[in-house]
Amino acid sequence: MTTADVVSAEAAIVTIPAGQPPHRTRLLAGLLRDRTAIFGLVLVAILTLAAIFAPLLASHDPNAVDVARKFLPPSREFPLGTDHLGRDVFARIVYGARLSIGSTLAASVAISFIGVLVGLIAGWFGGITDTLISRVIDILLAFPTFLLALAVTAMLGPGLRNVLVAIILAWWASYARIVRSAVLAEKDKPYIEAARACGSPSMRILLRHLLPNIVAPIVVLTTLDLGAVLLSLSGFSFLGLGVKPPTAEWGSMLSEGRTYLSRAPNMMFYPGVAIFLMVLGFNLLGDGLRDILDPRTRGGRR
Amino acid sequence: MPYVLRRALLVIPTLLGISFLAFALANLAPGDPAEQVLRRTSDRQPTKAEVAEKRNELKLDRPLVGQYVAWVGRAVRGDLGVSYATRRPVVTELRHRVPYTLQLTLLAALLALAIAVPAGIVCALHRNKLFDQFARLLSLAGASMPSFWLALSLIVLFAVRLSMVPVAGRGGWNSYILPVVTLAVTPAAVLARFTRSTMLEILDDDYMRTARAKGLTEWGTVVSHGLRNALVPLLTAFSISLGHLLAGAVIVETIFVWPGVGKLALDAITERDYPMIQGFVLYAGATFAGINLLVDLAYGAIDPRIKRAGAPTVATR
Repeated sequence: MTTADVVSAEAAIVTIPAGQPPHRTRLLAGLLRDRTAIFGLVLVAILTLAAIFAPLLASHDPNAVDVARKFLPPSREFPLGTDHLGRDVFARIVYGARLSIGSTLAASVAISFIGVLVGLIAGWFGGITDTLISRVIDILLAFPTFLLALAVTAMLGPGLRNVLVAIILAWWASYARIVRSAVLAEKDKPYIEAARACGSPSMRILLRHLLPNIVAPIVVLTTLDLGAVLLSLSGFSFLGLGVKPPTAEWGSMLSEGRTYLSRAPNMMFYPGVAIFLMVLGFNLLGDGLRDILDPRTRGGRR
Repeated sequence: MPYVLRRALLVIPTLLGISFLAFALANLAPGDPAEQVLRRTSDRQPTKAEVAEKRNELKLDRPLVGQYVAWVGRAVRGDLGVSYATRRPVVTELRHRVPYTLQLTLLAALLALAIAVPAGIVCALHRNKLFDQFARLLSLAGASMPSFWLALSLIVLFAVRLSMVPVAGRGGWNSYILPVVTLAVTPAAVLARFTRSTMLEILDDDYMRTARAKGLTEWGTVVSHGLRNALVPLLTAFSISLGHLLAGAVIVETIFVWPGVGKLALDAITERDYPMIQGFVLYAGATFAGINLLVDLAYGAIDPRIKRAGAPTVATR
């Protein structure tokens, strides 16, 4: 057993034996039967809708400074109070949701795209390509993701764009490893041979035949990781490496609130609640998806 | 080759990879560290001659490959350079700070284990009963909680409002409570879930039925037969948790102004203190590789099949 195997065991937690992906309607029906998954879906939906319709929900400009009304307690006009510059905490949370949720989704899509692409290449072509890619994956997986992302941020310097790049760079490797082993398990199966015998080009076999058969674990892994990505992104902002104040983002709001901990705990409390609920929603949704797509847990909730 | 030796040798390529990463990170970074350190320590724009002298002093003028080989050579001898910010050797700084981080992470790991394993077992034994439902809810919440928010909330409640513990800093025993608890929450939640699902799988196994049939009590069965078989997957989950603890320490130490390596690393990043960053990456990578080595060796001790085959048969979920 190698170091990387231990790390990949984490990913194995969601590894699902590849098989025919469930039909879309069955997936939806399964999700709707699962009460906790529904709860997750509702949480994610509410917060996402709040982000989209922020201007309708918030009656104040999230960046409007008015020192005369600073540190106000929650009231009808300011549902979650105001901060040290008299800005509406509620408005900042719903507007901040755009950046927090948006960057989480962007990072997660990029992570799974790169992971799938590299994993497909390594598993399909094998040989020296596979060896090289696998060594790179081994090195990257020798670090806890957050520390690796921190190290890359150290190189690139602070800022949201750099933190996003760092998180993507630190995260894709575990996806690539799972996709690679799934490809290895699938590529000698009769349906691939049949496609090859029919003269289908590699690209077509990969995208039309192989990918649909290994997509389920990737979808589950991506959903389960959404929460972790959001936690990392807001963690970086909290540490002052990601989004910088005065831009409204949940992590940076918490960072600002830290200074006024005893004076105005609402400044750090509510953005944290937002992060918590969103991560909870992602995790519940991911758990639900895994239960539906994993034949081993189907039927009874573990 | 014996398993222990074979496995130990595998650490070398990992360490080389880590060292390459540590080196590349600092050397591919944009900006001129020599100019930067001069400007920061003297509060004025340095002259060209001063920059050239500094570059020479920091060996920044050699080609990259030469820099790497020389750097690894020095690193092996325990010389990681001098911190740009404090002007003290990086190794000295690390040696000062590592014990404080270890105190936090080990205490948090123990706390997490002490809560998670028994809770997970009880949940599995009383599946879907009240305690199980409650504990699952709690672990779900724990796994979704941002540690920085939890830390600040705990500070507001227990340090500011109730004045039971200090707000930050390392002092008496009560200064450990909040950082350790904050750090332990996520691994405890993850481990509890994991223990529960592992135990649920094991409870239905044939040898468990046999053990019950020969008259062992349920707890006796679980502890002597179940736990032993759950040990390998649990150890895997625990080693991953340890990695997360090392990472979590950066945030927790920053909030509680704890004099550990996590705080040191963050300061180094904000100050672009390259030798310090390299030292931290090396330390983190080597520690993680060491943990994984120990865990792998433990696998061999727990399950002799792994030692013989050399390949993992860990089914984790």
